[in-house]
Amino acid sequence: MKRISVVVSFIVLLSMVLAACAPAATPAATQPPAAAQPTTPPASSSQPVTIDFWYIPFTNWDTALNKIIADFQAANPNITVNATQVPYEDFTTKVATTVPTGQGPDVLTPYHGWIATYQKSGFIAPIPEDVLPTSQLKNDLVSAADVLVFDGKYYAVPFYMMDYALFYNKDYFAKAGITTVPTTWYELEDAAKKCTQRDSSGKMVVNGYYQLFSQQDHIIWKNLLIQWGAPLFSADYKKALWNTSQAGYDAWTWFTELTTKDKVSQPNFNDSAYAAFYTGQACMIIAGPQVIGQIKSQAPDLNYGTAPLVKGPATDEAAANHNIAQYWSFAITSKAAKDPAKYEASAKFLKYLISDAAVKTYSPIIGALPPTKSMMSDPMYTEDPYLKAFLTGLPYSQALFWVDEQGERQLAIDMGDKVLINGEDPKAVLDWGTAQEQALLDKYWAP
Amino acid sequence: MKLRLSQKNALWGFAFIALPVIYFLFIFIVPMVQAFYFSVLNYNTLSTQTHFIGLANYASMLEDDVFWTAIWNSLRYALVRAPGVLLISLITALLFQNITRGKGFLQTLIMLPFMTSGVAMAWIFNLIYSRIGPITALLSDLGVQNPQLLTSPKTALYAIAAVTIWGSIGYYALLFTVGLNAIPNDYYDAAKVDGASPWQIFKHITIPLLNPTIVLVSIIAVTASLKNFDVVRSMAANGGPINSTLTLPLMIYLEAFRRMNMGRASAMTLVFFLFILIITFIQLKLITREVRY
Repeated sequence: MKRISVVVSFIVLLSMVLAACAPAATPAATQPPAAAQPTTPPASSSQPVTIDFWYIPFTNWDTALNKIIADFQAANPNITVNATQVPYEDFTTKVATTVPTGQGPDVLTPYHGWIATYQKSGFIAPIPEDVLPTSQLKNDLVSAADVLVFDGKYYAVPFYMMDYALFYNKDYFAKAGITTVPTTWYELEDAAKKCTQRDSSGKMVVNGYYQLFSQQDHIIWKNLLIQWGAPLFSADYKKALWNTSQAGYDAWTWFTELTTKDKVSQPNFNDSAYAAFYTGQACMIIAGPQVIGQIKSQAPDLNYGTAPLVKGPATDEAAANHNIAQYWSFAITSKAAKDPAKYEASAKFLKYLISDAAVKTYSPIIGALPPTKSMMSDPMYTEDPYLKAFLTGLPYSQALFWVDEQGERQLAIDMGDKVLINGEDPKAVLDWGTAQEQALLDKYWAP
Repeated sequence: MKLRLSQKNALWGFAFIALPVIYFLFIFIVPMVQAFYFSVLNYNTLSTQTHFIGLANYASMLEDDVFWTAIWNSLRYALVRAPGVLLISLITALLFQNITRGKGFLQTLIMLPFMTSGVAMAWIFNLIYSRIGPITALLSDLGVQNPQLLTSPKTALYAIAAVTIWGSIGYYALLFTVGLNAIPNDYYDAAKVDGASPWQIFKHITIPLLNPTIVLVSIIAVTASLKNFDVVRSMAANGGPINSTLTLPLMIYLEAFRRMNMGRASAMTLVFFLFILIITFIQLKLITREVRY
């Protein structure tokens, strides 16, 4: 009896332990990336095919994308695009848990800063040459799209292209007696001091320039370093060089002093710099063209203007005017690449998404710049009183290469909080931030 | 095969205990074994390579300053929340002992925050604590400069603890009420006859006889404080400002579902389990006393 108990117990335990280990032995991530060997799509196909398309439901995206999808389907009756909204917060998690197992989307809209990670993880496949040749993309797309190229192949095409420009409240400018729009950061500082409004008890009412690292300023401060003539990264993107020049320290210190010394901005005044601007809590902000769409819907009567991004003190013209392009993108997943019909249909969809017709459809709805060079001279941009300021900056714009977009973004937020809220020495914080960034780079480049 | 009666009985016995054994194995043991297995891998869902790395995840975790910040924040949170909620709940339960009219209604009312979703509660308090919220306005009127409780690293964690204290008073007060009702009235009657003051009655009768409930409630309160995730996540997002609200459960979540580093998150989970086990053990040693009626 005792022996039977021992034997049965042992068998039960052993089977449980083996069961415990079995699924873990082959976690999904161990599967080789399908992107490595995409199937060559057939020359053409008229068989009905459905592609699953995931996008993030940012303001007005559903309206814009639904229109484009309807137009695309009308032109390609054999292709059905099944669109699904996936929240920004969960996007990468859902992609990481579905695509490697052959589920999830065929086409998706990652932020351009995620592309390096997605490509390295094998989530996305190169755009097939026979539908969209690399030479054609190189010729047609703006230079900011160069960061989408890996091993000589495009892995995505840009969508919702934007750079930065100055937004200013004309009424506040008039009230403060400011007659010329700032063209340099130092002029912006002066204007911000004049524009800042406080009540009788000294409480901030209007921020002269609203600084918010959790939104646009986690990118703007990096641009500022370049505009001051400081390097950001080594040419191979393996070294963070933020604190390797006096210009780097000067730029960072000057920027944070807008809040700590000039007091033209109050930390956490509003969770959104855009909302702060269109609700009259900020006299100036630096932001992308998407704010134009938000103002149109939220505060159509706001008396405001846009102007090209203010210059920095760098002696080199390109550096002084430097701007950062950022955008979302359309990419084909490695899941789609395994199915020739879906791969071809997805590529056709991408081709349509960067066409003049599609860009002209979505740009006015969501407030975006064109992803192609040919569209940059289109009157819809050049004659738009708000968008033309962004076009001025586009030739100076470069997209940042992100190794860990969320980690790098959080790092900038922490750096801002350390100086603006904790009152820490900006130079020490820049040293700390550079070391943290280097750790992220090392992790990404580790074999 | 012909079995003897004793063998048949033994098999029946195994059949009956198989269900709970399988349940416990799959619900508790298997995930733990699996977590341990993942913790010795460089398992990242964003990576195409997964291989055995021994205790490297544990080593990198212990060398990470942010991990120790998260441990310290979890402790600070529990040290504020658990005694706070115990004290207020005990006072509430004692007050209920003296109420005769509307007792049921008040008890229901005080249970309402506990029955509310933590996320909903957190978002309401996000508004209350915001720049335009009543608490900010009150502190501002009292002369506090830029009083934004949730955006200051000095106050953010305590502001969140205050919300969870408020939200769980009803539940703990209910547990104390049950404990207080279980104390025989004879002791109180005898003490009153002997001329004991209310404080003496509370100190020498109520507290000692309530000890089993205090032990239970304090273990639940400390464990719940250490494990709290929903409210912290909803009010602190990624543990900011400057990691001041980054508790261990939140760090595990961010490691697993933001950085996709399942291996390191699994290592943290096991350390977190040991952390709670040790604290519970210390608590039991410190506050368990035998009580005889």
